[in-house]
Amino acid sequence: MSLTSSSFSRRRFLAAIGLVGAGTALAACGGSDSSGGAAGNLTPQQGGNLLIGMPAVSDYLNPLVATTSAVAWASAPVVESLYDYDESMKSVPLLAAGEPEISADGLTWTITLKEGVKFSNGDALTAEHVAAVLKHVSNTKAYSDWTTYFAYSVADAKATDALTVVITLAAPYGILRSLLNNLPIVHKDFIDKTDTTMGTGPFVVGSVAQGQKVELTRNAGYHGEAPALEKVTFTAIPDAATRTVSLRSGEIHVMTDVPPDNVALLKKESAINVHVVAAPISILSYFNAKKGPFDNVKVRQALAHSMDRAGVNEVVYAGTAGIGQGPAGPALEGHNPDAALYSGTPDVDKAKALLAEAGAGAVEFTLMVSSSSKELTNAAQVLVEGWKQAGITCKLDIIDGGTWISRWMAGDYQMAMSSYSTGVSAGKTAFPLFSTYVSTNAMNYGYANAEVDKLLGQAWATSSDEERTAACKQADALLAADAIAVPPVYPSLIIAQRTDVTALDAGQLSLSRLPAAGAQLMA
Amino acid sequence: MSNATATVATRRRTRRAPRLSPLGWTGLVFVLAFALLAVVGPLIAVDPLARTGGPLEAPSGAHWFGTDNLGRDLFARTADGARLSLLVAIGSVLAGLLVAVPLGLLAGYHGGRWIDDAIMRTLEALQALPVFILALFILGMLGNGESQWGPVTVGPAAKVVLLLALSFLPYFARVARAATLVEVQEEYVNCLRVVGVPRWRIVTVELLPNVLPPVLVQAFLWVGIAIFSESALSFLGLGIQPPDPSLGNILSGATSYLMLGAWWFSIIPGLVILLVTIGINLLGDEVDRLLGNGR
Repeated sequence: MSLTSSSFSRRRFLAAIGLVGAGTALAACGGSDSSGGAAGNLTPQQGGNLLIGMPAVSDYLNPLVATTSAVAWASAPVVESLYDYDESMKSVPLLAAGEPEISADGLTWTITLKEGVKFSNGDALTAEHVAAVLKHVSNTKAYSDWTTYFAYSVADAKATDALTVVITLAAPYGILRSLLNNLPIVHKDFIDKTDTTMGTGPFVVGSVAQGQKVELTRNAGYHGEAPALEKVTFTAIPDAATRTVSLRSGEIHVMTDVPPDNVALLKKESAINVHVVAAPISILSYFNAKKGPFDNVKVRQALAHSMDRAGVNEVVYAGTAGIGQGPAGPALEGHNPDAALYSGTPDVDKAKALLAEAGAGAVEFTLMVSSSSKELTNAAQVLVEGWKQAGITCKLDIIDGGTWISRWMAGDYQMAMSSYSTGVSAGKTAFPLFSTYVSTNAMNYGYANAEVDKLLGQAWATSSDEERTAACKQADALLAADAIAVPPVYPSLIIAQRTDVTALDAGQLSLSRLPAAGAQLMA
Repeated sequence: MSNATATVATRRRTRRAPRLSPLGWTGLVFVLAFALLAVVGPLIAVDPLARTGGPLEAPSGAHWFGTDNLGRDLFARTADGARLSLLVAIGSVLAGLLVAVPLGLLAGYHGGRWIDDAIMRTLEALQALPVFILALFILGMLGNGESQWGPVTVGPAAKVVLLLALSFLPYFARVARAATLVEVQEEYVNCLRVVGVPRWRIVTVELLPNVLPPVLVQAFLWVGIAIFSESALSFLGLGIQPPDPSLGNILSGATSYLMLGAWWFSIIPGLVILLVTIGINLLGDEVDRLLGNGR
């Protein structure tokens, strides 16, 4: 076809190009979703399928295997624990009939179970099932993350009758009461299964595409208030941008792990609510204090004073995080809200003075960070530039998660950082966070503070929440002052949901829980 | 002077340099622009690791290519990344040539014999492995950070150079072998053998200079492939690690910000990769054309 022929004039060609261009522009403008109405016009409905998009769906569906958010969130509607939090965030009995009876020496706990509770297959919940779970999680050889909490503390658990469990402890362990808010009670025949689970919760496991999708269906025989939803589906959408697009277009109702820099964009959408909640998510710093340069507390303190905390919060977390001081964040027992030991911006003069006192000269070290957390990798890059101002040279070693863990366990690092979400297993307690800093912990390389050891021993032994909180606060202050645990910020839990779903409970979110079972679709 | 002699003399005085086609010129411009960015860019840009602006600022007078998600100047990071990509690419091609050319010469000189078979079959087995599978395998064992090999610390860039050089070996060796097979058939080689010139001298002094031109043309083309491969490895997290910029790792971090409207973060580094790859390919085609016309 010739450009000069009458059937293909220049004018027609330009018109065609214009049409294509206009079509493309219209298509590009069509991305923003406005299909959701204002929440005020919608009413909660019965039934429906709540669709949740997560970065990953765990290959394990058994909540006794791992304490990650991925497995906990997908299994939480299926399993329940002996105790739980009510609407006012007070811990109340759920599968237990009442508070445990604790012997005078604190070593024997007797818990009576509620009558008439059944698993979703019709089997009655008995003390035998509870004892089996406790025995499993206190077995050091069990394939379970929960052994961290129970293995060296629970000596035995047995059913003395159909509804009575007696737990024998190796030493007073008052924190057990808090931990029983989170420990899922699974049918004893499902304890060793990895690809499914069975509990007494309002949902049962339906179809599972391993690593891709988990669909839960309503438990018709649930002992409590029946859920409104018919189904809950968890779908793996690894890419955050794709999850965001899916949420905006209505393909999913809830999006977890919202990148902090997406918050401003999502908040502009009338059909979307964004929850930015202080939750038990921590950035842990580890120093190998057995060797230089961090065997000197003043060098660690210099590093802590020259951290660009405000930069990390502003640039990496888009202002959604809190400025870090001690290791316990605002959602944890032991948080000191008035602590102001370290400033948000690098205190270069203080850092240089401390380095001079230490006689350290030019400090160079390697910071080991796992590549699995984009935010942490970015935070490390911001921190490196902040430390440079104080004459501290940091080389980043960004490695995959498996190598990070191997080297961390072997003490093959100078400084290491990782993020740690502890809410689904430990709730508000700082137990998993602080335990690493106890001098007898195998993962503690060279740090010893007798006062911290004493305080933490008291904290885990006492049954009083107030005493535990006070002891943890003191330990938090000491760990901060020793600059052995110096998170730059306290990240928030960020979950986005559509407004055609009832608002997720903020209290449960503050424990890093995803209260999917109690949600309702609206129309 | 006769007319014929005068004509020849005139032609000698007035011989012109080969003329590039429009596509050749396009390729040359792209390659020169990339070289300028890689060589001069880092000299005039700010520190690519320093936060000199707010996060995700659009291109402006202060930041020609805008800033990235951490507020770092994108022109500085792109220039530094281009330089690193170019160094890694040239290094990997040179390292590949260093091993492949001797192997190709040896195989070609002994063409048809067991040495030729052994060398070429081994290289063909290596060629069967896709470079990214090879990278996953090697870097899975060695890790993608720094490694200690005895007294030597091998960084991520060096690992990428060695990895790419290994994957280029079969291609360079094949070209060197083919050129050697042709040269070995020439009369002068037999003459040299007859007069007793040692084999090593025949190969290194006589054959090598004649084999090099086609190999170097191939090597030039493969610089573009090397730049693209290094970018791809870094994009996948297997190459240069942050905070050091590489065109690939800049792109890797940028894709999720397109939705936030930060088009410059991914478009500009992506364009740089695209243009240098196209430019080198166009130039390579042009060199091929000119060499073919010259024969």
